[in-house]
Amino acid sequence: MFKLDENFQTKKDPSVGSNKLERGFAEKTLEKDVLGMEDKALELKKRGDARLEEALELCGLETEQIARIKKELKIDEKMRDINIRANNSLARAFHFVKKTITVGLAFLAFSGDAMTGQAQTDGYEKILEEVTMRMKEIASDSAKEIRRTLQEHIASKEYLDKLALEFDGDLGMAEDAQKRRLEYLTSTSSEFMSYDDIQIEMTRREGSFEIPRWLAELSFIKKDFKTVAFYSTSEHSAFLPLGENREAVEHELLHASTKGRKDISGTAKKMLRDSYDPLHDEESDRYHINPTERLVRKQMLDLEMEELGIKGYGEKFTHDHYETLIDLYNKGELSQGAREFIETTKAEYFEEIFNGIAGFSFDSPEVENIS
Amino acid sequence: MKKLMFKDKIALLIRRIIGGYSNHIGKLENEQNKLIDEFVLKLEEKKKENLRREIDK
Repeated sequence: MFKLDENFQTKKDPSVGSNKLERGFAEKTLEKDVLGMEDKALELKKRGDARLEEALELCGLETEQIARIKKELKIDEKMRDINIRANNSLARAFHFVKKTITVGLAFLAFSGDAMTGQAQTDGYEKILEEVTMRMKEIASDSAKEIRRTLQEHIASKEYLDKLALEFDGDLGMAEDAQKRRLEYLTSTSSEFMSYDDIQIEMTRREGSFEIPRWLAELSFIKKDFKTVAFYSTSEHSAFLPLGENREAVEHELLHASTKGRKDISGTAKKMLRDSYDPLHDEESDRYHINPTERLVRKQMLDLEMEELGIKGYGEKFTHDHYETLIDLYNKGELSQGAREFIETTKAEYFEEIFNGIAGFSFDSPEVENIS
Repeated sequence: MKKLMFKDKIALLIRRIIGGYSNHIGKLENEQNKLIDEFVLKLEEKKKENLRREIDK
């Protein structure tokens, strides 16, 4: 990751240098404040890491003893969680800054004196450009890391073993499915855009044919802002938000890994449908009962259980694991996808689902979205 | 003049957003410090325990 200020200097076009000099002190300090936002999150992590390092150097304890204390206090998980929250906060703040500038510029354009307005807001456009660029970079870096984690997960022996179970012990079929999923995950393209643009692009693809952007923008006015990200099967492309949103990226990349193919085993398909516990809300039930959606959430919960140290992926799921999950659910400590899966799955099916299903694809609709 | 005022309002809003974000980072920093303090305390306790054991031997 490049250092923000240095990059800003090197990117500077000499022709805009004079404009920059003419800009007022207010714009310059504002620009510095906006561009300095990322440093705050970075510094937080750096300071935390430095303090930990110092404590470890000075303590003079054996590695095993340190590891035990770390595990007991869940230091690594908690530090990672703080870092994720800082990055989410950064992304959210960037998003609102961008929105404020966009709305402000639009208001000036509508206010009649567009030329004067334009001249007045040159500084803001520059900030807007920089903010968008930074948010795209954060999103892209984060998506790369998530894709790598998912690749490792799907390529694992444990994943293959579960696939073999789904294919009635046929290792050849399981290996083919594993290979296919890795190819899909690697080949999917990612587009990073603002929430508004994601909503518009989603609207364009909702029907049986793609509609022009202007029409999508018109219908967008009436829409609420539910879609955070989506995956388009026909384009094999994930439309992802700017900034960092781990859950949305993981969700869409998991959809991409199955590319809406129809090689779901009948047993698994039945199991996901039978295990569905309705929310008794027509719209929500129509979305959540779709086995593709259930499968993605199940896979995310698999990863989350591993990350939280509840259960290794290859490990057998037991009633104790279920109890731990419910405990965390009640404390509100699980991700949105995990909570949704728990809410919509009958308790008696958990062991069967987590011990028998790896990840299989299903005849999914053209567009998958999360709300 | 009117536009300049409007522009100032945008700047004010942006500063508020940055302020809110900075506050949140500040809270996270406190949380991080508390966590590390707890960790350091545990390390020291363990160190003392090790020393006591050495002396007992």
